[in-house]
Amino acid sequence: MVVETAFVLSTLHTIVTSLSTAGSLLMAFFCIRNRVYETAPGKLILSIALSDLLFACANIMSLLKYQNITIVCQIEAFIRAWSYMLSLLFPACIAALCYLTSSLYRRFDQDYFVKITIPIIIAFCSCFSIV
Amino acid sequence: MFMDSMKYDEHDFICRIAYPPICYWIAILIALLITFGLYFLSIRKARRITSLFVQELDSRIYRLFWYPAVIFMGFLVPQALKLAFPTSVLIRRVMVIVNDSVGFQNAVIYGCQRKLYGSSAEERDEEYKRSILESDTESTLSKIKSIKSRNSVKISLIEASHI
Repeated sequence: MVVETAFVLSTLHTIVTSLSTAGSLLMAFFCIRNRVYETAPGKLILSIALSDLLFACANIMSLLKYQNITIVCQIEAFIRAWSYMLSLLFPACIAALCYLTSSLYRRFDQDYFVKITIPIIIAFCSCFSIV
Repeated sequence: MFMDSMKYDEHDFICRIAYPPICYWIAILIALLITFGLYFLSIRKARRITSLFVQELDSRIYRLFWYPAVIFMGFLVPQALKLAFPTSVLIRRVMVIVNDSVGFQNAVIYGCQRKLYGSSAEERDEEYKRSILESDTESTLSKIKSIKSRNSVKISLIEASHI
C-alpha cells in the first residue's frame, strides 16, 4: 500500500512537473516573442513565468533523487521557497498595478512602479529564503 | 536559521524548509491580503466604468476576475486541505496536483490569452504608426503654414515694390 501510494505520488509529481515546466516555458516564450515584456504588466507576467520556471526546476531536482547530498537538498529547498514566494508576490504586484492604474489613471507611472517593485520583491524573497 | 531547517521531506519526496519561521508565513499572508484586497477594489472600480469604455477596451478589464484564481487554487486550497486533513492520502495527491501545477495554472490564466499578447503587440504597432502619421501631418501642416506665410510676405513685398 505504502509502495503503491509512493508510486502514484511520484507519477503524479512527474506529470504535473512536466506540465508546469512546459506551461511556464511557453508563457515565457510567448512573452518574449510578442514583446509583451516591453509593457509594465508584461514585465510582471514575464517575472511570474520565470519564477514558475524556477519552481518547476526545484520539482525537477526532486525527481532526480539525490537528496542524500545535503548541499543540493538545501539548494533545492531554497529555490522552492524563493520561487514560491516570488510567484505569490508578483500577482500581488499586478493587483497593486491594476488598482493604482484604475484609480490614478494617467497620473500613475507604471514603468517606474515596475522598475522599483521587481528588485524590491526579489531582494525581499531572497532575504526570507536565505536568512 | 533557514539553511539548518532545509531537509528532505519523505512524505512528499521533496526538499523543503521543515519549519519555516513565522515571518515567512506573515509575508505570504500579507501577499495574499494585498492581492485579494486590491483585486477586489480594482474590480469594483472596473464595474463602475461605462459600457462604452469597456467596449473600447474590448472587455479585457474583466479578465482581472480570473487572475487571483491561481493564488486561490495553488496556495489557499492546498493549505486549507492540509490543515483540515493532515493524513489523508487522497488529499496529498490533490495537493501534489494543485501545488506543483502552479506554473501550468499561471500559463493557462496569464499566458494562453492570445488576444492579450496579440493585441498588446499590434496595438503598440498601431499606436506607433498613428504617432508617425500624426507627427508627419503636423510637420507637413506647419511647413505649409510657414511657406504660406513666407509667400504672403514675398507677395506683399512685391506689391509694395510695384506701388
